[in-house]
Amino acid sequence: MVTSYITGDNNDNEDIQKTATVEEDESLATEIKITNEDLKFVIDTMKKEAPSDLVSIKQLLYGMASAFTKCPIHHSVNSRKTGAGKTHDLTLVSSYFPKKYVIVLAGMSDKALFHRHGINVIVDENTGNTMPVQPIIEDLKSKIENLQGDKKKNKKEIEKYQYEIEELNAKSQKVN
Amino acid sequence: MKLKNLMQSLKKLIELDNKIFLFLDTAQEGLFNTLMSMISQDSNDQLYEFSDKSNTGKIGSKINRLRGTPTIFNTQVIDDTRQVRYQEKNRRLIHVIPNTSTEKIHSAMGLIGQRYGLVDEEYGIQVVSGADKERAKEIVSIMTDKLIDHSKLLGPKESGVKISFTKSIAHGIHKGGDIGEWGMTVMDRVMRYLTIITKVNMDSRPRIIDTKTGKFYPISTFEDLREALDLMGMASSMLRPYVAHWYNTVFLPTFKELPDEHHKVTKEIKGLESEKQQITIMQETEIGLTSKELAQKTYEIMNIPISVDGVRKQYLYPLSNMGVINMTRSVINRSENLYSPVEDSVFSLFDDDGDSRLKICDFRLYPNKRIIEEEYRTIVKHDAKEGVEKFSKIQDTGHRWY
Repeated sequence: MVTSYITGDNNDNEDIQKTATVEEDESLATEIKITNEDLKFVIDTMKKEAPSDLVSIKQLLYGMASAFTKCPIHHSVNSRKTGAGKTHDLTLVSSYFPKKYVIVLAGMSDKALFHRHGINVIVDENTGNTMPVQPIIEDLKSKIENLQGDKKKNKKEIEKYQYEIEELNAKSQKVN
Repeated sequence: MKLKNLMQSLKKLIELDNKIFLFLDTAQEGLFNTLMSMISQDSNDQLYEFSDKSNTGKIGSKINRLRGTPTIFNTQVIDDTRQVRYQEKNRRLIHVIPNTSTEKIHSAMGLIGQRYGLVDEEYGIQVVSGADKERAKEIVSIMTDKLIDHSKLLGPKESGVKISFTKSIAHGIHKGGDIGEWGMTVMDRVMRYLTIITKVNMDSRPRIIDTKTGKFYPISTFEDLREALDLMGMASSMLRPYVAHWYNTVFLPTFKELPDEHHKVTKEIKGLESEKQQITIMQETEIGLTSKELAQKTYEIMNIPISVDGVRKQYLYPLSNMGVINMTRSVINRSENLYSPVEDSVFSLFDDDGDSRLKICDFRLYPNKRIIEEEYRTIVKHDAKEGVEKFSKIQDTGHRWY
């Protein structure tokens, strides 16, 4: 892990530090060359715990690596009888991938994937581009704060905004 | 008012790229039905509209936007060929079959013993060390970062790889004959495997670099193709590979041994002048094999003891559901079915199980130096038109690639 080069004692600096570390990690990863020997080492290491399933291991390794490209390869591991080592091969290969990318499920209902955690966005109807909605809400909140300078005059307007923000947040939480 | 408008156009964005989903148990039939268009990458963003209740109790519709495609891995034993949409699912998921040979079972039993019976240090020395595992994980982690970085500038279904012998591969699959729609699925699978194998080896492959955008295309080598074809022996099968193997080694040879006449039950009777005559009492309408006969043949040929019911469930029903064999009721024994082949053989990419090479029957498509150079003509021509400022350059890593 690369250590951050930015120092500071407030929260903003911590965020910058984290971002810088991630970016540095990524650029470092792209600078490091992976040789044929490195890949052979990975396959040989995996093979030690499933010596007779080399073809299956390679299929799963390349299949899982394809998750990080625009051409994913989906696989179905099956066998004539139970106990052939399907789950073993699958968990073995997946254990070498960073945990943050692997989601192990004992089961999933039909529509569960469509309700996974996500961020709220609005879509530009002309370009089709998406924009996160949270910064816009924050902006409106700050406007409300400004209106609070003259509470009596802006009372109705402030209450209306507050109610709508609450409703918006409540809805988002419920769906998530 | 602005917030109200905002609220109405609000959508949840769910990012699914760079995710590996492992279904460790047989997934519900409906799950794959709903995922079909997503795993086909029909579009980058897909909308899912559903009804939901608001805080005030009003029912309305909401939309979630799903971006990207997760990579799915499923495990199962049970036969699902009878499902209505099985063929669609079968086309999208490549079969992986763990080895079940006697040698594998013996070595796996040894490993199970070591896993339970050794302390960590012994396991590290005798099987695999923790340090080696950590190093392998580190390499895989760097590899994933590189793949993500390379894919940043690519759109859905864009490979980002230059393959100079695609025409040869296509010809090696169809060999100039009629192989049906499955041929396209096989071609797609070869290309996907070849693409990812080239990409994980991208640091040791020559590449074409777009000098304007910085986008680069690693160039596939024959070494990558060989690795891809080694996997295609298993991955090109329309059926589960053990079913295809049984069909080719047990079912077809046994069926070919049958006489050309329809099976019949006859009775000997005496004629008016006391001569003997054979009269037909019952006759089958089809030529075919019974499950009992096939269970016996499975044991004789493959040395696998299997029950009559087992033959039906593991081999005959999946083959019948896939339309590879016919199933008709026996006239002589009404409790039996007769099974006969629809096709002479099931699709096989290679002529020989142990030889993963494609045969190129047309010499003009054999991927020699001239054919490969021809593949770069477009880039060279484009560069010449552009003058001094080239849009791309080829960078060699010193790896011998042809």
